[in-house]
Amino acid sequence: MGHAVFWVAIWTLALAGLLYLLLPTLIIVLASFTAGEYITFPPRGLSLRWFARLMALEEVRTSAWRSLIVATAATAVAVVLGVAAAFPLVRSRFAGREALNAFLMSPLILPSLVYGLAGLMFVSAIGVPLSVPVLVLSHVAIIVPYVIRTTAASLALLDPHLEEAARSLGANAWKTFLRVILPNLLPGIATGAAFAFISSFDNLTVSLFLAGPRVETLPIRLFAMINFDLDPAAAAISAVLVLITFAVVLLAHWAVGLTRVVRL
Amino acid sequence: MDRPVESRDQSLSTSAARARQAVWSRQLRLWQLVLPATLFLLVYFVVPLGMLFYFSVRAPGVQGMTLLNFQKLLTDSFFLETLGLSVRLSLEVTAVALVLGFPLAYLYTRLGPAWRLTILFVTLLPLLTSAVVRSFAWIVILGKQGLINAALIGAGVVDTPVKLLFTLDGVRIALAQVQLPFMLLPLINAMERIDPSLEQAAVSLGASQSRAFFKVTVPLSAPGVVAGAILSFALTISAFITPAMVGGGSFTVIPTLIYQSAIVTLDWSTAATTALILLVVALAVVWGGMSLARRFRYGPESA
Repeated sequence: MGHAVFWVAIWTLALAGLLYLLLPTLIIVLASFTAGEYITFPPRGLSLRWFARLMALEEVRTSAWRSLIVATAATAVAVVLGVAAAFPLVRSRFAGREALNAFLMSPLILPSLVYGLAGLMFVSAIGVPLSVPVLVLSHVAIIVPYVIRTTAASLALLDPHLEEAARSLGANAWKTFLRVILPNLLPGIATGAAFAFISSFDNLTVSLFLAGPRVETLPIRLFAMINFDLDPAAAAISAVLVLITFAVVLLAHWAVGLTRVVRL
Repeated sequence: MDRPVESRDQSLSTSAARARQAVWSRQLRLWQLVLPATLFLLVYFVVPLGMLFYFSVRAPGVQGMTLLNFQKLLTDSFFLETLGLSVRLSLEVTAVALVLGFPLAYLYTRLGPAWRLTILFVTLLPLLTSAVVRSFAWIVILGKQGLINAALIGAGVVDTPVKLLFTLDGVRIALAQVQLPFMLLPLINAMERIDPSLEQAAVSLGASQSRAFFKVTVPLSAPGVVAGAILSFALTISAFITPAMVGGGSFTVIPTLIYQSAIVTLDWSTAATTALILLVVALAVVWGGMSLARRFRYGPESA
């Protein structure tokens, strides 16, 4: 294989890969602007009518609002638990630290379908009816690793001398944490919280098991809409979800830089 | 002359002890910060998994623990066919993701910051996009009037639309796109650790660019390949949403079986047993892949 042939082959496969990655996102966003009654590609005329229709769909509004509440609550709990746990994992030396770290990361590895099933069995065994708080707690379990991981990564990069300097200059432990440590960790925590939020907001598999019939989230609504027929309103919801994801990636880039995000 | 020295020693050792104690108590307090998250996951993660295990070893009319559920499933030909299909599908999807991911990861390490950022952005966006949205997009692309059929008919390759939606092929296409980011990130991480001058040295010693690529870069990125393949396989075999939406019930995979027995037929013992078999298969692949990676790390010569 000649030099040119090699590079042509590499570039062709790589560009095909890039296009392949981007294609679904592009298509769904473009399709949502259709003026027609059905989803077609290329879209028949451009309009914002399906976005306007979203506002009129009662179930969409209710489920979107519920997803927002669930994701916000789950992220808040995950940030408190995750940020606290990150400190000893990075700064303390105790027996079993590595094992504990692996344990706290294990929800990332377990298939969410399996967790959904296990959670349903657990909740019905203790006799708690399916409700929003139950759903929030189950989401916390699967998103807390994101916060721990990004916070721990930021903390590992933070110079311990900074804290010592603050302490020796008279700041108490609490003030040192609030004025010195926390501001330095904020980008890492924000990135972890953003990933946690989007994972909860977009979650379907765990919610299918633990949301119950009266607690419909946006992904469940969207799933039902698409299985029913190819409603352009579903494309409009998808476009909004893509936009939120876009914002999360931008936030991660702005806070810690994408090149660091991928090393997490 | 002895006493002062001794007392100084003593005071030194007590202050050192005090300092040690102070550090220790600080460490103890810090150590406690890990407790809320740990307790939460013990209650809300480990106990549910225990329940899963409990349901898999219980059967109606049998006292105590039994392997009856496992025996029933593992001798059922439909179950074994489904398991075989799931494993094969996951291997195929992983292979496609590797073929497309490897050149992209390789170029990533050879290109400037603007290209790198573009590649990372295009990788992370679908990674974080809802699986429902991505599967929906593939339904639109693969349909009879979708982009692929429009392109094929427009180019005169086929006269009538090819059936892709609600077929295994369609699911392969959609799943490989979903898994590509999970393949790319470990590959990029592994390839960034390879010194580019190694390949340059091979070329300056007379190897062609492609020979240098296959003999130097490909073997050195083996740990990334293994990590990406493990991740991609484990995620594909447990994927539920994409096979359900893009497959549209035209075939059954293991996650479909779990969902059906848990929600439709309410047979929790079968659901739990199927889930555990899925976990064992995924773990076996992870374990096998990791021992393979260890061999690569120590080099083929020492093996």
